[in-house]
Amino acid sequence: MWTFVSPRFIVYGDDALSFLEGERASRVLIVADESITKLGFVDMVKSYLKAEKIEVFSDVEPEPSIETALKCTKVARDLQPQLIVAIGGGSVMDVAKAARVLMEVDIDPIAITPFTDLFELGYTKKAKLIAVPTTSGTGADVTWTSVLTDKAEHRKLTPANKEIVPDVTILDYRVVATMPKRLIAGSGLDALTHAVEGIVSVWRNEFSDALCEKAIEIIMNNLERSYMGDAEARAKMHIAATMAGLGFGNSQVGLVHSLGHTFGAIFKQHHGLCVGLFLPYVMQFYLKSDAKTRMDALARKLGLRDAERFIDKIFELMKKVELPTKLSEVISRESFEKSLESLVMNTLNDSSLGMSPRIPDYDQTKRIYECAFEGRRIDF
Amino acid sequence: MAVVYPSKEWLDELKKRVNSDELYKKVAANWEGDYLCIVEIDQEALKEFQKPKVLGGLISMLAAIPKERRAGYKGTPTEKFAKMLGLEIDQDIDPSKLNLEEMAKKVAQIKFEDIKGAATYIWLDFWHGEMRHSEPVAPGDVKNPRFILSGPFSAFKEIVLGKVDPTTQIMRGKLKLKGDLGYMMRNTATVNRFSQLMSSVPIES
Repeated sequence: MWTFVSPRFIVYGDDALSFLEGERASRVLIVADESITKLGFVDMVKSYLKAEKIEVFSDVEPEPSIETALKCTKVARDLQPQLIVAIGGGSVMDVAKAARVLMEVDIDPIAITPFTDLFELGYTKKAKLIAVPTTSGTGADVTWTSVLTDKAEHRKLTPANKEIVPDVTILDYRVVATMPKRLIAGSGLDALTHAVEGIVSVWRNEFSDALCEKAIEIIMNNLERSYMGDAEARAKMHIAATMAGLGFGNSQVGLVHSLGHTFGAIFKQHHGLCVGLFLPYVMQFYLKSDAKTRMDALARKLGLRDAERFIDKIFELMKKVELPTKLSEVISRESFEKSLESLVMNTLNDSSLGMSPRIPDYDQTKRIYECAFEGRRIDF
Repeated sequence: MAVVYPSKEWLDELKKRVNSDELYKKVAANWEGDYLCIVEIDQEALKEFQKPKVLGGLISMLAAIPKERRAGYKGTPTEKFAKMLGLEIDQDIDPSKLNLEEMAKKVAQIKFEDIKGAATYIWLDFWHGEMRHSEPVAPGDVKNPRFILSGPFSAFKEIVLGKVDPTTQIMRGKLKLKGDLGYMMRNTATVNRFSQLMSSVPIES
């Protein structure tokens, strides 16, 4: 038995937010962050709602902490919303997904696992959750995981359960029209990573393959154009990110995310930048696994000779969208060496690792970090 | 050397492998917790137990439990299964004196419906990088295990043979996991390494 999980509706287009006009909830919680609020997107959402009471929680920070999810939960418990609208990037959606459960069930957020029977614990899905992504990368609008940072341990944890997937995602192209270039690049690489990891995952299936393949095709053809300001390409990237989310959300990510989560938590870097940095190196590591066949096939669908050319193409794309291609462009050698042991141990403890087609041991993980730091090709 | 699954020998080999693995020691340095595995006898198990060696392995696990503790099996379908093989659950069992060929033939006559609910219990206990116990137990022997993993023999066997990992079996709904799931999610390196070691034990077919 296997399951494909997705929201009930995916609403997309230039005016997709008008879908909110049909919502009948009288108490609504909007979850956002400060910049989204300043950009006027929260007011935009409010303008479509007819609720009697609307509260806004806008304290979500990038790479949100467990504490932030608990703060949002407190607001939700006080308000008892029938609808939660999460508008923002992955961080906002991750907080909203966790708070939606925790407002009803008093458990440690990390106890929300794929194996937890939330209904047995008293979860009744009191609040409907609508996601409105304002970046084109995370796929968090359609996945059943939430990534939260444990500040004490400097590591990312991933509460996950099929019951936390949003009910609706709204892809309104207007909210990505003014996205900063650096975010277009970082989130675009995030989406590409999701699709590639989703297609090589040990949990891959026909549904996830179809979605990931198409997402990769759209991203490879549109990321650079979107970065250069092409509105049509920007809209396509927005769809591709959600498509990749549906794909990897149902087959899971792997080693790239384990490395990226760890690196991001320790060095406080944007998630998309982190996973993008590790993607080509991990693909090189996978060349000596069963995943090579799948990567070769994927490369051929893109008109490339084999997986090695596909990896080269990803490095080229990263340069075109002005992203770093090695860790040494982001952190110093001193801080890298100081953190290497924690980087390796936290990577091995990351929950995504188990779905990788090739799982590195301690020494291999260390060597992957060293190669990614120096920009050396992985040939082991 | 290949060993029979399930058997006391398999449990001993597993313990040996875990306790001699440097990577396990490292990643599990802070791990504190035990699993009670409830392996339910299914149709595939009944087929397997028609092989004298495999049946001998199962009986070796039962025999490894002191007879006074085997009382936990009293009144269960497992006792009924043992009786059908000619074994008294609370009496001395010496596998070397049993005619496994004859007993295996008896298994072939047993209908699954007659022993539905029969199960073997295995206790795997870990503490700070060491496997302290890897042994068969009787129902009720282990109080408050940190985790309970249960499911049919065939689902466990796929893991032991390295065909699939435990997480996937749980996601497929083939195994059920209860317990301190948050703790497990924080310590996936320990769980993953143990799974790798478990599937590294060569199994005699």
